[in-house]
Amino acid sequence: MNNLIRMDFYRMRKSKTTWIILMFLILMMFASVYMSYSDIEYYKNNPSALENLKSSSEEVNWGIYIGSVSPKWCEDNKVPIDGLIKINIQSKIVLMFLVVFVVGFVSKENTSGFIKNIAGQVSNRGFILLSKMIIVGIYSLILLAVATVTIFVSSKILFGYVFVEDLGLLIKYIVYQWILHVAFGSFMIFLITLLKNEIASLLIGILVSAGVLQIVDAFIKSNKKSIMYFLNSGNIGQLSLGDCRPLLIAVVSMTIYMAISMYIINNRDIQ
Amino acid sequence: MDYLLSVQNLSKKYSNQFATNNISLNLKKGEIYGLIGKNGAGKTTLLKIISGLVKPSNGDVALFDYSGADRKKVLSRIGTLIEAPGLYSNLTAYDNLKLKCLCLGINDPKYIGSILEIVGLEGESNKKVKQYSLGMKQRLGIAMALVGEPDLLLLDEPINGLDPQGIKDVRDIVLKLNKEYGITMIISSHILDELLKIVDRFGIINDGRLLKEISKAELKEICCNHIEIKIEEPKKAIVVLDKLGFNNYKVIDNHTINIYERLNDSGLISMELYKNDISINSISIESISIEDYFIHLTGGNIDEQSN
Repeated sequence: MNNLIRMDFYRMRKSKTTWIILMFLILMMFASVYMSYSDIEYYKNNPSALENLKSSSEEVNWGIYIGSVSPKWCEDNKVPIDGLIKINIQSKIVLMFLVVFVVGFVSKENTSGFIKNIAGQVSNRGFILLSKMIIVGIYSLILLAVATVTIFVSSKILFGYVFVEDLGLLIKYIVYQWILHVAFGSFMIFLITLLKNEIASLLIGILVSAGVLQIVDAFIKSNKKSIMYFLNSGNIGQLSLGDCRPLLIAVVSMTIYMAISMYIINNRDIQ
Repeated sequence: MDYLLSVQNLSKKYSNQFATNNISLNLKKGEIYGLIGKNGAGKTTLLKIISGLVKPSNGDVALFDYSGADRKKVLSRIGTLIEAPGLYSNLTAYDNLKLKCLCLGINDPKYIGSILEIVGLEGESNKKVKQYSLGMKQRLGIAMALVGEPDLLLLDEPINGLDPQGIKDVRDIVLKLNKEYGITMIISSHILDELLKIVDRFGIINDGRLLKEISKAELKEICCNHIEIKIEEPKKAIVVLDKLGFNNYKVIDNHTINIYERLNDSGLISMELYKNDISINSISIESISIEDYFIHLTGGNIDEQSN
């Protein structure tokens, strides 16, 4: 297992995709903070627009978005880095980049045929996927760290300051989000293993991270909570630290997805 | 006799079709075994089952006397190059080999260089695989299979699509690995003449069945010589040949029968045909190509295009 992790980590380091995704993430995060900065300036100069923002800010957004603004930031308050980081992680930009990485990284082993070199060499083929899961965990952490650092730097450049409200809560928030992102990564590994199709996996991954499953709410026609609160992608968008449900959902789903994926790869012929 | 590899009644069924059907074969240490068959005959499936990539529907494979679930313990002693080499084209040859070394826990920094030297790619290690020619990719594929110093090497169509120089390079590598390193091998190929230069024993496979196993010496003898009888009444002659116990013969046309066994018995054949009032125009020892012999056995064409 250790050997497989070392092998996958080496490939992650050597793959261009790893670095290209990080570069795009830095650009997107800077662009997002810049858009927030311009919007704050706009709302400060347009009180009527700010009123509209206040009334619409209560609406839940399950989709992917960038440059979101909290009304509090437009009322001559300092813009907290905590808020900027939370809004940008909730916007699922990081998740979208993670989806692209997981699809590229995991399916490449199959499409290149490299798996034929190693599938017979390991005592349990499921370890091949478990090792990928560890890499997804490492890369998620790198993505979140890079996003955080970029937002710090962007805030300093654009707003001229870095204002931290509560560092402890911020770290806790990032750790929770990391677990949710890894859980979503396990869903992607499951999809790739099940479908064996790069494009279909990527499409489904992006649609699910963009909240397409809220369509289920329309079919159920229930007044209770949206189904999104019971999904990893939904919890990434609306994470509440006071509730242990998101973590429970993440851990349970991760276990189930990995167990099924490992079962599939152990029992399926390598073609 | 102790065999390095023993395949017993191996079958693999996909939907309603057998990819391999009740195949049994044994391989001695140090032997090079050639698998001949049309595309879709079941060669690749057989190699995949032996290497543990595909699970058989029936039958068993014993490797170093480990069979059943225990075979997993020794699967790492098999090196494979099945179908196209499994390589990351955006990485260098060194990186591809490094990945397999890491997987097997090999940390010797000189190891990759020594493997590349065996396949003659020592000066190309930092080139990306996508810049490699087909022949270089095949050699790198063999290098990948050699990581971990396997006792058994499975090479599926290693010379397919290569130019004459590429074929020679691979042939030299295969012979070197067998003679100098004592590696046992199974090689499948369409290029029969080339296989004849490498292989000790052949297995002819068709529609998932192992039709015949034959040594290189036997094949050479058969392909060099057969009895050709020019005759007016082949139907009557067949009855005589059957009585004489001949099984391996073929009616080529209305006047010709070829017999592929007991080449020293042409006198006996002449005498018996004469006794039965069957007039013979001529009886002689002729030779056929390996390809004709293959077609005779399988009723197909070795060069049919890949499916």
